[in-house]
Amino acid sequence: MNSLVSINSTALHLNSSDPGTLNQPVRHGWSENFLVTASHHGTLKQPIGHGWSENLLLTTSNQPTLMQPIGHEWSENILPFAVADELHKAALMRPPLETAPSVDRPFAETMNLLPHQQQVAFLPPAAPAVDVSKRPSFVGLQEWEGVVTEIRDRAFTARLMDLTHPNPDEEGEFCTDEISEDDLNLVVPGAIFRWSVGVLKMPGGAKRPTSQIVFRRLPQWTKRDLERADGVAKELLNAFGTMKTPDSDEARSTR
Amino acid sequence: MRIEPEASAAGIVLIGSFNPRIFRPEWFKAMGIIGDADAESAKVRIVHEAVTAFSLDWANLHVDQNRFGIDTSDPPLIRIHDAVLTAFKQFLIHTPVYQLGINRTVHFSVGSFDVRDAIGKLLAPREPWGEWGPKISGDPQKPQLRGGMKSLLMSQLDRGDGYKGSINARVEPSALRPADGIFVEVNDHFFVGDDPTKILGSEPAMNILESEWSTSITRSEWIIDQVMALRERRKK
Repeated sequence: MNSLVSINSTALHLNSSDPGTLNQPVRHGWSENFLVTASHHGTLKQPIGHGWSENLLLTTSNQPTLMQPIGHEWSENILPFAVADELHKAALMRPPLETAPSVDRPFAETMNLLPHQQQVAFLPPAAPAVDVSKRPSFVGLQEWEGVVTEIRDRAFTARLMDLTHPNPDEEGEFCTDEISEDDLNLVVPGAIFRWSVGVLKMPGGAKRPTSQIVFRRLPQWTKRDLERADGVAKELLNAFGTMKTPDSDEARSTR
Repeated sequence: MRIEPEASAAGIVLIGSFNPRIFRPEWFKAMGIIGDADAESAKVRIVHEAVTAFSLDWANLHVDQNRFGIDTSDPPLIRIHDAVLTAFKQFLIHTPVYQLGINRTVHFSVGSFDVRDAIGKLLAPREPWGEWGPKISGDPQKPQLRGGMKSLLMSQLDRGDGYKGSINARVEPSALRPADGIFVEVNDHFFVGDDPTKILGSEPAMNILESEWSTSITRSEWIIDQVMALRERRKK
């Protein structure tokens, strides 16, 4: 490892004999930890050293992303390759809108990048990026939500609500052979599932009609849910209670 | 949507404070969020206290200490909603979540390069670029050198539904269909509450997810459909 650590009173500097690999100081952070900041000009090309027994924090963007030191169980490199790689890829793909999907777009390499896109090219990818164009893709064209109403031997009946078109509810019978093993124990009266019908688009352009049934794994009702439902029910009761219905005493007395 | 997509996906992103090491396939299985076979066939890239990333047959998950992301391209898309809701509403209720994003992406073909180019011109006309405008397109005889709109991001900041956040749509040429495809992504972004320091758990974000998922997906598909409609509009 071509690294040299020098310490002065306030900062710890790590220099590398590789030109342009590490041009930011390694600052002294906490009493026993170090903060390693990677600048956004392609800094850490190699894992940094292997002599430090304490904790390290690596930031891969202008904003420190890791507020806690990363572990202390590494014998060789301070930052395990796979961790660095995942963080690196995540930082590169982080969109300006924080909750937008991560993206990997072919920007011109010489274009000024937004801060979130500024590269910290310190490691090659651990695995080649998956080329989604080479995978079949299932495109749903119509979807129903079903409720199991009756179970018979290797089959069940369900009430189906069309979620794609405003059609009236229907009833359907399904063979349990169509259900994945994982979902078989979920097939009980009242269980909710989604039935998606669509096409499987192969990378070569071929299309195959296909369908999939997935039973929903919904959270259990919590105490708060029940309290909230109770509150809504009371509100409705109050609202309806003040309405005059044909069967109310007042209405009957006027007949 | 008026054009059958070539590929279609949805995703959920949470911004908050997470412990990535929790989010292993075995944990999801133990909590009943995924099944045994799903957990066993998971392709784990990494599980570490700084970052976790793995793929299931139907979803990809990436968690670091500030960001949780899950996406799927396999219908029914609501599976990621159910997984996130169960994880954070039933089990990780004390995990603070400050922002929520519901994302919908679609690749679709418009039939030809020229149609796509015309749509690009509708969205980003060349005229305002002055003397440079006519040069952008390049030589029609050299398709590999044809230029034009590469990315357009539109944001609606007044959501109109009482939530704080924005609705953002991005249109680009599709990497899946380089010759005639368009890629649209819609990011439905919610800020959870006014003051992040007062958010102590995931419940407020999960309440938004639970009540807004369906509306959000429908609205996103409607926005995508507006872009698809340009295929007809450019003919007029």
